[in-house]
Amino acid sequence: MDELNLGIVGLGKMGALHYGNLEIMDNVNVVCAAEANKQVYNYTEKMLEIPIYTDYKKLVSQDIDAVVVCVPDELHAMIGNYFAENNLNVFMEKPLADSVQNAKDMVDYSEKNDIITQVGYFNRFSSTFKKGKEILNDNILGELFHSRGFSYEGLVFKSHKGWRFSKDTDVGGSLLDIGSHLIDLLLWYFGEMETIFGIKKDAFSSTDYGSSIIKYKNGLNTIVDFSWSSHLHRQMHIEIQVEGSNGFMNVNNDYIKLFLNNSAGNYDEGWTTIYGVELYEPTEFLIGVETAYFEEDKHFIECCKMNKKTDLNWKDGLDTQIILEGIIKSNENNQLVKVGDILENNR
Amino acid sequence: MKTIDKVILGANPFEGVSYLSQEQRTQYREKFSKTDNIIEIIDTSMDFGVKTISTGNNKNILEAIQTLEKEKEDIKVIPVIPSVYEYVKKSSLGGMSSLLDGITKYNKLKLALKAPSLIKKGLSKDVFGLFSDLIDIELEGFKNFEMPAIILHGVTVDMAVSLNQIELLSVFCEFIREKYDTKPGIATHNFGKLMPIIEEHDLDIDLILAPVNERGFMMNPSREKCLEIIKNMDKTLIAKKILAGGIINPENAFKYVFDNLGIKNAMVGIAGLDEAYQTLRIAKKYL
Repeated sequence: MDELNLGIVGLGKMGALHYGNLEIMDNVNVVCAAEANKQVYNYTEKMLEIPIYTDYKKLVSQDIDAVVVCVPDELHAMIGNYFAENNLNVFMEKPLADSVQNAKDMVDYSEKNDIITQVGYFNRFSSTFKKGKEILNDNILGELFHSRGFSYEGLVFKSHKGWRFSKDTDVGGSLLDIGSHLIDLLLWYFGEMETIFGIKKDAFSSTDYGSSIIKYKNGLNTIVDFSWSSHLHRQMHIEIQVEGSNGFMNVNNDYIKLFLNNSAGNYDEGWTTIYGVELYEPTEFLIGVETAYFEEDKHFIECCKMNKKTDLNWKDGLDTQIILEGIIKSNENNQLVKVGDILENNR
Repeated sequence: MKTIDKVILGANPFEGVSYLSQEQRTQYREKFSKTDNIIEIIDTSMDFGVKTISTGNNKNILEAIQTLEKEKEDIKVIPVIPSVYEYVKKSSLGGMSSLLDGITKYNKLKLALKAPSLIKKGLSKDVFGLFSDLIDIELEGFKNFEMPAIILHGVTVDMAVSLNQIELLSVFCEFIREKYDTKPGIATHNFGKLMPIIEEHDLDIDLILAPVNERGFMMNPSREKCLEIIKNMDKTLIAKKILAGGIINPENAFKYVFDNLGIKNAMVGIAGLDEAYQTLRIAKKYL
């Protein structure tokens, strides 16, 4: 497939970003979009030279191969499943869904219809986190003993209207919004999780602060802390620290810091810092400062063109969703949750 | 014709921006939450002959410039607008519609008071109206300063290019020339991709603000492509990110941009007095 035609559902902040990235790519055409909000529809309809619908279902009337969906979490399953049933490949913004049950349905629909899927955990495409994964794969740190993970942003300091902030319908707040990025990276770095203990605090909206202790099947532990109400962090900041038999690694959005007892691979004994700036690889197009957004879109497009599975498909999204739900359930019941039980309870 | 100074002081550190670490961002935010610390750096820069500062619509920075302006009349400001990251935050909290709502409501009121004719023309009722409203809102705080140029923020420019909204850049330039009587410029993180598009559409843009550094940091789609364009460029280019976020020393950075590439203007951010002496001592040679 040389040319790829796409539709976008949702023209908010993330929808506009994906639209821009995709439209600039060679042999990729964004041919239609859907936006349910009347005011946003009115502006975009005047501005963009493609058909814009208020009903996402109308997109299937166009000649498209794939859709990118950027809508509130609670709509992910309904919209994702609709396009899967219509045999269209789907990129779904993160988190995959608003519940494990819905995420599981989405995986079932996608497998039944054999479509290509991706979920928008873009940090996997960032240069520092990729390097961190490489260091772990090369066993530079030796046996892994313990880890810590943080996901913070300074966004919510009072109550707000809107689906993301409702206290009444607890939608997971900062856990789903930014904690999900961290959980996705932890699964990618350290593999399957076994048990979860979670706590959270609703201060301004839902789940503004939270923590978790996670145990992996391989015996490693992670202490997790997340919040979108962190005064210390203006932008999203994700950090993972790992202690191993040969030293320590701290990886975040800006740099990787290593301390090694003995040299390993290309890394010397003692301290090494590698900044993201040093790892910078030019990208075809950059909106803002984060190249990973373009790279994740590019990966989806390449997989669609080659008709192959993405490295971050809906099954991966379900794995993350299980842990997110585990943290919420553990907090509700004030007890340790077994990861296997969460999926079992959603059969 | 207003001239652009050779070296321009950038405001990234004052706005808490660092490409190296969260720790540094926190340090900058704390330090530059006090206007006096911003004044100290701008004042020192002016003593070294760097008399132009480029900044977004940031309350503390504008306050600092206002204070300094009372003693140093030759201070100049190049605004970079709009404050994209503030708008992104607003849209994260209230959605895109509340953001659009806020801008139109605010400026319909303002225009009704100041320029009823614009309302009659229906300018605030369409997309371009929204855009020019945004420019006016953003420039409100700069109106008493001497502005040798006004630059459209890179995220807005790059977004417009990617969405085939090139005419937005023309509208910006015309609007700035007519209403503010100064040079319009555009910032970009896609210099190598944008310049051929500007040529193709024959856009009348006076100056471009884009990353140029020896490491190729943010020189997209490739350092080579950007350098090829710089070689044959006839528009004013202000090089930014010349220190590549702090991993290139100032001596090499200025040498590369001014001597090796022959670029006429560069912007550099400074976060402390030591840094000011170290960087501006070298910059001074080129002034």
